[in-house]
Amino acid sequence: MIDIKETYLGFLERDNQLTKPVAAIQALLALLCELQPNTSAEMIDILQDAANTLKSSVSNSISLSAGCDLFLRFLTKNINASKDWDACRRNLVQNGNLFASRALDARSNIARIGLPFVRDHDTILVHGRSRAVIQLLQDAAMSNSVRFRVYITEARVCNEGVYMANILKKSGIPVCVVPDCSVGYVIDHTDKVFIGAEGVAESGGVINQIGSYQVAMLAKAANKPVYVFAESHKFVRMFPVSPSDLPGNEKLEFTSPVHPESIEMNLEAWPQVDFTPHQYITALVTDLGVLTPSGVSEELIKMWFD
Amino acid sequence: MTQQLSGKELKELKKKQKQAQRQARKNQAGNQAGNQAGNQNSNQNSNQNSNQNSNQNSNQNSNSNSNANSNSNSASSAGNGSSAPTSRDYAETRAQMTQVNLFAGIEPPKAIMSKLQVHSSILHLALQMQSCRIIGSASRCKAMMLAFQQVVRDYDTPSNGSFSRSFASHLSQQIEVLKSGRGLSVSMGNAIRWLKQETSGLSMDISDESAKEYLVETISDFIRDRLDVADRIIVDTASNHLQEGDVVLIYGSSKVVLNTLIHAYTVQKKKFRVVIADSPPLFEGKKAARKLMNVGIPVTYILISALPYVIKGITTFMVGAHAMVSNGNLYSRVGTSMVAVMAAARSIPVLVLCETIKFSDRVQLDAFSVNEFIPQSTKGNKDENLIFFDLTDQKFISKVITEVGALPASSVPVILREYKQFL
Repeated sequence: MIDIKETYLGFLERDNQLTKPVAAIQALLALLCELQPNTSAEMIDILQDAANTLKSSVSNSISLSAGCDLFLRFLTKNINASKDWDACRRNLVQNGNLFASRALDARSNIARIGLPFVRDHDTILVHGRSRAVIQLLQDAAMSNSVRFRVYITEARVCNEGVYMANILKKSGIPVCVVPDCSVGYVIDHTDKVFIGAEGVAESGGVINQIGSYQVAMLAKAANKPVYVFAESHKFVRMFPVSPSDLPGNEKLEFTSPVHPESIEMNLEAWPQVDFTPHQYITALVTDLGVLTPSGVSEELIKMWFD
Repeated sequence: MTQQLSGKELKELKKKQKQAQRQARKNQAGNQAGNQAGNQNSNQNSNQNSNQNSNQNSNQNSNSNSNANSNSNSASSAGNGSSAPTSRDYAETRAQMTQVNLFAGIEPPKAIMSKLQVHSSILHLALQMQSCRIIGSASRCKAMMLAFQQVVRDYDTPSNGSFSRSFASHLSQQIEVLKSGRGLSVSMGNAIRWLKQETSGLSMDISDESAKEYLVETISDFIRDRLDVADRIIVDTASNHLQEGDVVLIYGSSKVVLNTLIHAYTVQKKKFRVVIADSPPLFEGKKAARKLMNVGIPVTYILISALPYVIKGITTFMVGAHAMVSNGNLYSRVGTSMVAVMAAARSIPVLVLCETIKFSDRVQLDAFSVNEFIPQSTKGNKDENLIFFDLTDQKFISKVITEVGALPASSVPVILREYKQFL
């Protein structure tokens, strides 16, 4: 039997446009193709176990678990569709592939729906790297109808801001990289804030690269709109009320002895995501359309509703 | 004098007389409803009012003894150009205008009415609810459904009727009596609506015995699914919210909240502390404190007025509900709103634990439009003007935990819509 973690990481490596939930779905699909289970209950058990291993094998499992849950939900719903196993499996794999391809289309749909949010002479603040935001900004730049500038935060811990800035510069977008501590300095010169999402919680709050919370808070204080760009397969059945509710975010330690090495922060162990509550978010731009934060829970309830 | 009045003035005068009469009738009715100090008072009042009426009829302006109509009288006097209104008139008018009767819309408790066809278990239940011996929306609902089972079992179909038809009216009579003890809770209302639907859906040609058997069984299923299992699911979800070292604030004595805390402490072996805020006259927190201390949970017991002193360090506020109304507001034990606002002001998460049977499609904006008085028969209650519930605005609620999942308060209407066929 294939190693689920290896397969998952392989999918991610081969295609850097792939998001974690879609990679997880494809890994589970690959496992499904190989299985020769005797009963449907056995198959669900195996896939459930695989999903659990996958979730526990990576440090930041939120968006991944969204994909796993969605796939298992889809599986349990469709498993009794046909009588014989081969037809059933073919059906499942077919639908699963359709599901995965739709998930990939989601990003271009977001870019299409989100295009009107970029206006002429805008200055946009972006925090963290997000493929949805990159595609949107590239499309906006290519449309040649709007001129805009982008502040990008460094997004330390993951340092993905610099990476994202280079991609945008290649598309000819004027970019200014700012350190995370100077968001307050630039927020007054910003018109709107764009962030991506690792996962969208049931309340409409988002789980995203660490620092998003403080950026959103500053934006709220300065009365600037905060838009979140996220595919609907990132909606998770999770409802944190504070950042400490996120899995994998252990409490930070306080220390007093001064060692030369303790001056360097250990960024490896630092939490990589935080939770931005829904009241700081103006709207979520998804492939289902532009949603208010409360609209997310409605979509989720519909999605999980039998 | 009457001859000098023009047609228009005459019309106005008649209108005022009518108003005065209406007012007098209202006063009388109000006094009767108030039902204490009864007859003497209302007699006096009606005397006064008839005085006024005769005053007006003869169009004299000596309105020193008027109470309700000084306004109209002084107006008419101005119209006739005779003596100006005195400052005392003004004072009285002002006093009436500024007196806001907040509780005017709330029905005062009545005596339990009994009928011949009433089942003894229903009468018993009505008394228990009136004296608040059975309290809490879910417990009352469960007790009611169990009593209904008894009613079904003991029901004899009249010789000329069919079971489903005659039982529906029999059930309505039981509900009337139950209602006279204490107003129905939202959960009871939902359960009754469900039961009536079940009864009316019974086939006409089914035998009485099997119809009864079916109803008894389906009521048991209802209690299991909508109350017992729902509670268990909520307990499972909500107890995952508690973490080692938490300090949980609770208010009142919600069964599902207490079960959650007990589950987290005894089964999940989490170490946490509980602060119980309590208030008169029901002092439900004492009951809660006893229950929690029995399993060994460390408890701090305070009165609600001391909350600001202990609120620092509290990590979660957990509260049960009487109902969630469809605009997302929480209708719960009076005092909850105050605690929730205080918690929200300090960014303490406010978690509402609520079974979906308590969801109401009513829209409610304040606690005065719909409420209940705490019966004076309740132990420790001497005041007649204490209300049972208040309304917590949805912006102070972090999340609502139900058996169908956790959701923001704004999603209550979504649940009502999407799960309608099951609710």
